Amino acid sequence: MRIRVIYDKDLGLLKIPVTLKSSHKRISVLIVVDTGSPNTLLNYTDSRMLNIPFIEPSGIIKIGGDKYRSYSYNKIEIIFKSLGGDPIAEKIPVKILRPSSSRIDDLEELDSFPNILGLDFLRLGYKFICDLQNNEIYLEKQEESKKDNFKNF
Amino acid sequence: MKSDLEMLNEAEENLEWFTRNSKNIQEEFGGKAIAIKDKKIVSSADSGIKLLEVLKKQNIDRSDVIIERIPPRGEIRIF
Repeated sequence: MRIRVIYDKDLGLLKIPVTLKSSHKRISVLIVVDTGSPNTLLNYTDSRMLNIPFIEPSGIIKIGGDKYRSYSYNKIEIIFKSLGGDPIAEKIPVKILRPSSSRIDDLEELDSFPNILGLDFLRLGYKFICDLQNNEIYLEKQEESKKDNFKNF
Repeated sequence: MKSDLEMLNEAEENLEWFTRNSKNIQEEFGGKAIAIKDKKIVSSADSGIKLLEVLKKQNIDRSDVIIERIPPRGEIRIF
């Protein structure tokens, strides 16, 4: 199955529309594909909107010259749409970032970072195909039944 | 309540619309956060945090919109 990635050539970003689902709420967001990021990160206000708690410390993350305390959370579902038109739910531990202070400037700076789909997502078994010239950009995962058939071959 | 697929279809349509128009949107809304619904910009504010307050005043549910933070013109974003 394939997940379409949309290329915004003017802003130079690869994005996927997804639904983020926690036990409390669902929201529609755009997630930026960034294989240069080792982890999948959620935007600050989106993580607040989903009531994700800061419980499991997960080290310091440096973005854009600033350092943030990160927390890991493994109960989020990211729902994608397949090219065939079906929803695909994936569970992956995400990182959320805590501002260094409650000053509005610090919160706004942190909130300027988008949701990021990192390299860890590819470890779920996805291939990332990216042909910008022909606008063929997608994530592809072999379905379990097809994998089994291949193993038996 | 909308199904997951309805939410994904709407988000996809809004992203396609945004991508087709991102250059013009950046000229008008560079440096701001915008909320998109039904292929229209329904709100904007100086930041995502302020935008949530504006949406609340407009009685627009966050679940019904896509929020995009638009970099100012000429700014390249590297995460």
